[in-house]
Amino acid sequence: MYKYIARRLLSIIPILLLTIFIVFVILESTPGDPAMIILGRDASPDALNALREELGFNKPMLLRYLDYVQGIFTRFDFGESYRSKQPVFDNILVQFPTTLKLAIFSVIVASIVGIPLGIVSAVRQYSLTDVALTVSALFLASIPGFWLSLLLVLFFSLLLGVLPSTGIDSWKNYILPVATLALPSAAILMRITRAQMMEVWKQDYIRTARAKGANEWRVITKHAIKNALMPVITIVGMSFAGLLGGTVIVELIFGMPGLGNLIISAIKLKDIPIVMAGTIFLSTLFMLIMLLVDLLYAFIDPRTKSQFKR
Amino acid sequence: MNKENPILEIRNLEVIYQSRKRESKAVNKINLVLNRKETLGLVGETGAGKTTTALSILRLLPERTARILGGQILFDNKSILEIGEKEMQAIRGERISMIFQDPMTSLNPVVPIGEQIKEALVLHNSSGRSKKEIDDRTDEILSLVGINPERKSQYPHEFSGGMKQRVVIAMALACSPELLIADEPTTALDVTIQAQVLEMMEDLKQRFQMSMIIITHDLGIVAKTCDKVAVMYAGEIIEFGTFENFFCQDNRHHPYTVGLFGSIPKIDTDEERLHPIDGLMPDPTNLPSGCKFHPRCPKCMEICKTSLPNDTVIDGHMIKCHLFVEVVE
Repeated sequence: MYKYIARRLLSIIPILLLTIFIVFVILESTPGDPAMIILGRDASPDALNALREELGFNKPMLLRYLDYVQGIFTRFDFGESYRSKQPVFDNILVQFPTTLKLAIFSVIVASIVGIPLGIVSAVRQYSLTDVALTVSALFLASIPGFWLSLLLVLFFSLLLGVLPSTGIDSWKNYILPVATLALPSAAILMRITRAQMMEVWKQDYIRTARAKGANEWRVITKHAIKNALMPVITIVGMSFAGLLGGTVIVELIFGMPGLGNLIISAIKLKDIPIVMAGTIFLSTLFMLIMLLVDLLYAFIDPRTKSQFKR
Repeated sequence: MNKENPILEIRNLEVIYQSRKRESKAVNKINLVLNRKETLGLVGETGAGKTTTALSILRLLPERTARILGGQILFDNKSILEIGEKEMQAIRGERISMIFQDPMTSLNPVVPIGEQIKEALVLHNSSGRSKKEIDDRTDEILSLVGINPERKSQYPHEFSGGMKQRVVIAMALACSPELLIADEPTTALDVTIQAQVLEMMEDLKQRFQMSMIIITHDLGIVAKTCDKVAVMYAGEIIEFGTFENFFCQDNRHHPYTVGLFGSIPKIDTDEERLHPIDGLMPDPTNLPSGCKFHPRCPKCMEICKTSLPNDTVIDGHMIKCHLFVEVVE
């Protein structure tokens, strides 16, 4: 088990190196000169050249890539933001909690709503409840986030005036953004839970449990859920990881200073160190979360556990 | 024993499966009587309605497709098709247990086997056993079926097929049921293990004073274990009698039963080929008129094609065939 974890952690390194390289290439091929953006359009060519020299832009890309990677691995140095002149992680860590809160709340809400409804839908297959849930899930899953958020603002902030539409001053500020993020996720989770549950519901061991005299509730909670939930957990983990990097639109619409906002403005300003560090940060988190999900499997499914022993 | 009080009586049971516009007649008005401590062998080809009959007794037929059209099932003189679901849950697992066909799939893969056996005891704990007593009983029942109780925290995938079947049997026996229904308990097992499992079941049956229904298509198993035999064909019981009727007095049998016996390969004679019964089981959505077996019957007469034979009973030996109608009359 520990060997497995160590191997997975080590495998993060080559993946990160590749990620960094890809982002390097992408940034290299986008237009815009960081020196000119920092100094402004009317800076003298000498000043521009001097800054380029200082930032290392006169070197070939591959050399810069190696320098950058070396800086990370030897000094844990991710560079400074061109704009704020602060180490990048100072910026990232200030803005990350907002995004983290959004992602955590959204995943919790989505799970609490989606999973039980999926179970109900499967157990009452083709009933009126099932049809109603399925239709509304399809509806929610196909609504674009920006449109849903605007509708929510229109209704709750403008029409009813009960919830704020921008800022992060109180917990109330989180309700609409979380709703925007959670509802489509809940719909997807519901669909997957329903499909899984229906599959499990047909299994012989469910009938065995019934033959023992177990009632419906016990069959669901004791026998079906654990078997049905494994793929659902993967989806929960993936949507959580995805939300960490995918709250941009919601952050922009609700004026929340989160990580997505930071990276987007850094891309616009060619603030390369922020973009790089933000990408590394998010992809590392993503991989760690997926590792956690895989480890969770072992606690649920004994068959997976024995595989970890290898 | 008290012959007047059978443990199980099935009267005119009729079950169909519905899917879209098709209707499969799975069980067609069957009658069965099982006395206490008796073992009944329910024999027939795949699709004859054996499992459907068994699931009807436990009321575990697939809810959405299956429908019991009529008839009665009396368990200990109580009509169990009429009682509420709660009452039925109290009977399932405690008074009637079932061993399902495939031990590979009938155990929950993510629950330790000890827990799965214990569950029946926990659910039917009317005598108020303590936790310790339930655990002890779980250990006891595991030892009974020949599994070391120390393995109870292991999961089904850690057991071999034969061992899994033992777990399934232990689960069914946990509450010492009055009636055990074993649906092809040995079909999924190796022949070597089959004998072991059968012996064990016979032994446990004696010990628990159970009544048993063994569903099988293997006449060898029937010969080894059963007091009474019912042969099913296309949802009907076409022959019913005692062990002696079937295996000792080789006189009168339904042509289908004759075919079944004929299809057993014999090692002592010099035969080149197997002797299957020609043709296939009829389509349950479109059963033939008259006797359901007539298209395959070597002794088919004109009357067989049009009219359904009555049950002819000679000394408790029932045969549903026109051949024997005159014999009685």
